[in-house]
Amino acid sequence: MSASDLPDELWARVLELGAASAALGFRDLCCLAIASRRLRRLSLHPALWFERHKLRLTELEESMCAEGDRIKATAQELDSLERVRRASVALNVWQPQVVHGRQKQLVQQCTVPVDSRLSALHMELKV
Amino acid sequence: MATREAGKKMIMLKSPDGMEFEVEEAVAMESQTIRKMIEDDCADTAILIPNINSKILSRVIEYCNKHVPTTGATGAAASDTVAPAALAEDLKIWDAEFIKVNRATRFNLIQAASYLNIKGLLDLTSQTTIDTISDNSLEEIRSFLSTKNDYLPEEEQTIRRENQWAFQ
Repeated sequence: MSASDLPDELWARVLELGAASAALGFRDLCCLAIASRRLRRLSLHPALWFERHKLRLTELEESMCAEGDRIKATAQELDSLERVRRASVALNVWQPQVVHGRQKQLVQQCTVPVDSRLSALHMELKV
Repeated sequence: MATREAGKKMIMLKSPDGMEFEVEEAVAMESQTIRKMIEDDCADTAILIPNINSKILSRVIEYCNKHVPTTGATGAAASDTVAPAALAEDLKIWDAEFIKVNRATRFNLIQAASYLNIKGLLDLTSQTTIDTISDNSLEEIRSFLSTKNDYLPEEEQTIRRENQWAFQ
């Protein structure tokens, strides 16, 4: 028995499983469409493309969520670095000892070069 | 013929080429088609399985035999001693070995699994077929599926243009 002996409904089931499990990508479906008339008819079935697009949509949603989390984390880091930068400027002017000590501590705790990290984060946010 | 052997009900399955296979009822009932026949009391004598030759039928029975303990009535006893995860892992390894067959046998197994309505076997054979198709070149797909390019040259060019986006 060869693949061409399998009835259409069985081929449709095989392809549907592939599209739903993400094993068959858009490229594979298009490759099948170019292979022969019969495979084109089978691979162009709307249910297959619906499944494949649904999966792609889920992938995009997940990556958007991950991107959103990254933006939040970057904004938070940016915020704390901005505070460190302000504190390092404030260290140069006169102020009560308590405030001066607190700002010195803040600057000392920051181990990364503030300016370069700040510009890197600004770039990241823009991207 | 349904008989009893050591307390287990046995069912006789017959292939169109005249071979007979005596299997436990629980094993045979892995097939939803046979289960329906048994439940409808249509299985007093041997059950003839049309369109599935003895070679394929024996492979199908081998699959059902292996899969019955985890899904059938004896499953509870088996999973009492072995962790379900380990059992599932063993089955996965066994399945991978089982499906190492030539193309013709695999397509025969797909057809048999569909007729006998054995979801696990149908999924396994389908998935293996998909794995062979995916990420392969057009020529490899044509060769695996024994498909001839039946497009006219200009037709093929149009279809290639239509589908070009997926290859970029």
